[in-house]
Amino acid sequence: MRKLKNYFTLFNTTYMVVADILIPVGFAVASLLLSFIFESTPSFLICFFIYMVVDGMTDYFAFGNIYQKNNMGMDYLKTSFEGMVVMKDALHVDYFTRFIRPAIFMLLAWGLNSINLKDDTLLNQLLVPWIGMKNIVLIVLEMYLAFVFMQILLVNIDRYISMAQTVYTLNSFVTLGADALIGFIVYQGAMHGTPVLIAIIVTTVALLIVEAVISIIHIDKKLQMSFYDEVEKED
Amino acid sequence: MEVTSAIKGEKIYKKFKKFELNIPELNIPQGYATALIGENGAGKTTLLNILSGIRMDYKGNLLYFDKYTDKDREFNPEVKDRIGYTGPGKYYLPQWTIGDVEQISKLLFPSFSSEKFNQLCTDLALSINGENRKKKNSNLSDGNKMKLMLSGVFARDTDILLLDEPASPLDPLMRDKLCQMISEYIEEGNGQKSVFFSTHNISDMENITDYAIIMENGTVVEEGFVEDLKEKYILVKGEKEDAEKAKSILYTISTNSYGFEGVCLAEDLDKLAGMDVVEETPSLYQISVAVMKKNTKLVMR
Repeated sequence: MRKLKNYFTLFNTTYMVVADILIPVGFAVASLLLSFIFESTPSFLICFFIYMVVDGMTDYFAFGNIYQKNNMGMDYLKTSFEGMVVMKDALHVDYFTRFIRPAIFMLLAWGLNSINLKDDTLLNQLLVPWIGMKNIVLIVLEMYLAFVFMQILLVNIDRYISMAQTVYTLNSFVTLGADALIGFIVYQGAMHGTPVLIAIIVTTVALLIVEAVISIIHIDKKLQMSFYDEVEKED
Repeated sequence: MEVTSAIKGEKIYKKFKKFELNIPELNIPQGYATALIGENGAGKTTLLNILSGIRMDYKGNLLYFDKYTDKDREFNPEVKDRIGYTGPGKYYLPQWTIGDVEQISKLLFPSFSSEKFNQLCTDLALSINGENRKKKNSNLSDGNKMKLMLSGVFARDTDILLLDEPASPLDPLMRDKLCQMISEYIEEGNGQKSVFFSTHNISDMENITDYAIIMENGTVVEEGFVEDLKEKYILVKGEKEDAEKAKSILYTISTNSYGFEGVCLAEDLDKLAGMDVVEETPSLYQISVAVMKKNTKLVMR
């Protein structure tokens, strides 16, 4: 609860409303509209890939100012006994939101798209109609896990870059690459049946757990090191 | 006069790639306003960052209020709550509004008073009757950003304020107001509250400066109560023909078609014997410039 309170206190409401609610909900609604306009279009998949690119970009709204070594705003927090604890808590919760946001999008998109189903399976509207995949729940789960994994990875890289343009460009290219990779993994999993899909999911979960632990240790260390970072400014 | 120290430092050392901060001894007197003066790159911000706990990559010993070490500062919440700090520019997160600053300060500093903060925001014309409370820090002018920092730090119950260049972005009227705020702060402390501020606006801040520390090239080159410094140094004005002779004795000299003017040590005054000179008490600005010129790496022509 304390961590949550610190997250809500430290980051402004606009960022939380836009990144955590409006964007995932917006893309879910967009996927429904797309499926109405263009029948037989894999609207969910298209929106999933675009959402992945956009979600990576929202990070800079809240954290752009603390990315640099000579962090803006950190001075104020450092002069308070609780300041860096509050920052640490907020960043931990932010990692947690990386799991929540795609879940909101995917569940909502799935739910909304089911309104527009014309076939007796979810498959045709939600995913790639021409593949004829089975195990749709496992496929969507794998997409979700891969999404979270990529976003957390990007967050960790982004926090060493101070230029917004560099962050956006890097995120766009990496996410597009990740989109292709996710597509490939999901396709392979779908083509080779349930055991392969389960193996991929288990591997992704294991990687995600390792990544989450490393990310938490990394950000804690980074905050601690901000007291020691050597900068050229001498005045 | 027995003076206790609000902050005492010993062998403070910090090395950068091309710069060294090396202060064998530092004393910030308790109950006074102390100005930290020095040219760009002298090490003022680094010293203030070390004292406030923003930097921890330094060597040396610090003692706060004759009682707490720098380790206590990090592990005893009471110490940091007694120290107020404002820095140049990179202080509050840019997306925070004035309202956010109030909420966050309440969370971070137990002694923060919302009532006092709002009163200060009104007094400094930052937010009158709740107006502008939703204005983001990034949308404020440099002067207003500083006003917001000052409102935040003066709204707390602290025993020492460490202010890094508080006067630089402020207009003359606000500088006068800042001097008034610092005076009132020290006065209400009855000898317990101190202010340590760095400044390039020596003239504007002189009337509230009790003690001055002048830094050059990462070390303290002069310090003392302003009244003592004004006795230690003397401003001399003389005839043009004596300028060349006086040059070697004076810390700083400026000449014009009528004569010369410069600052020297009062004890060196007898070396000017035989010259027709007028002695005057120098201002802190004149002393500071003289001391800085004596120690600078700048080429002064």
